[in-house]
Amino acid sequence: MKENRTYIERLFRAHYQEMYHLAKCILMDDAESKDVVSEVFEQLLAHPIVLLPESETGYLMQAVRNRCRNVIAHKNVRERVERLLLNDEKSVSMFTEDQLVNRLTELIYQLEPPIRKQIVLLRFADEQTYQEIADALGVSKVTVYNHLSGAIDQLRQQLKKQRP
Amino acid sequence: MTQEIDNKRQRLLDMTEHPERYSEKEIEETMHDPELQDFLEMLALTKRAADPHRNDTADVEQEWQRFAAAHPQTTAHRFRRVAAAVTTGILVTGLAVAAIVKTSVSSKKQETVKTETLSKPVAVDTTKKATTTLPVDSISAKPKVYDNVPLQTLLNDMASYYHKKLVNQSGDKQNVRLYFEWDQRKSLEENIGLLNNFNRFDITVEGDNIILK
Repeated sequence: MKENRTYIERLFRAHYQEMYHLAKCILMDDAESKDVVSEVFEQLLAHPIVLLPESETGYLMQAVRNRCRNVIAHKNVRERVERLLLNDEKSVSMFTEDQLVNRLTELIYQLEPPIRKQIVLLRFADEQTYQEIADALGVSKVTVYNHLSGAIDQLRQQLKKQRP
Repeated sequence: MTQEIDNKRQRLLDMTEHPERYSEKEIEETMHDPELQDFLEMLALTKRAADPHRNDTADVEQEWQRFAAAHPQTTAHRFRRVAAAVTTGILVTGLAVAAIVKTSVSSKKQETVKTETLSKPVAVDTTKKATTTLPVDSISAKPKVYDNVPLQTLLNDMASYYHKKLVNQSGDKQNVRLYFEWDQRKSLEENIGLLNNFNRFDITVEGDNIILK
């Protein structure tokens, strides 16, 4: 029992950061992400298992993914669409692929015309409403929608070019 | 892109801002519309890529302390060490108290001032109880161990031992299970202080009551 506690503490300290980062990429919420990681360790406490050193990371990351998907599945559809939470396996894998997300961040800054970059950043980094963005840029709300839609197409095409 | 898809996208974007304007069925249909899947996925990915807090880190030490406090069984081994250290200190104090009580009993004089300087009133009561029910040398008895026992059980035992009444104002916190080494030579307040270190409940002593909040 004592050995299990020591074991949990070692796992916690070694993997927490990575697990938290993964959960946050999926859930986009600090508190919920911390809860998910805690629940994974709670589960290990309740049902002690010893992980092989080479499978520790894989097991813990998959446990985080599963719990995140479970959290999303229990949210009502309005919250899911508002926070853009998707819980299918393909989306979850994409969201947590650091290299892909980093590349996409770079591509956002290369969007043309520049108003598309502004709209993406005002909407997703500054969390402004579409009307606030329209007022700030002196355009209509429909124009904001159209530019954002165009930006998403452009980003997908750029990513497709770079991915095998 | 057709006008129809254009309209669907605008509707989806509006839904992300004003989901309250749509029925659950409408949202579900939009989120599962095959013509919107790629767009929706890239939109969600872009939101993450633009998030300025994406690479924020957590304070692992702080999170571990929080987790350990919420799950006493994870720190039982540490707590044992702490309890062992505290026990050593209390043992010395306990022997000192016992010696004074023994002296005062044998000389039939009330050394109340000296006793109060060594322990709080409740501790004096405890010591008196020990002198009436146990031989003085039983002061070195081992702590009573509660392993994976509900808090309610521990507090009821303490209430009985220290002649108090347990009042639960915490809802179901009394069902929290914990590991605790109860050193009966310590005052009630000292033991309550150790229990409050778990940071999962707030226990106070008010008059004749032990109150769990």
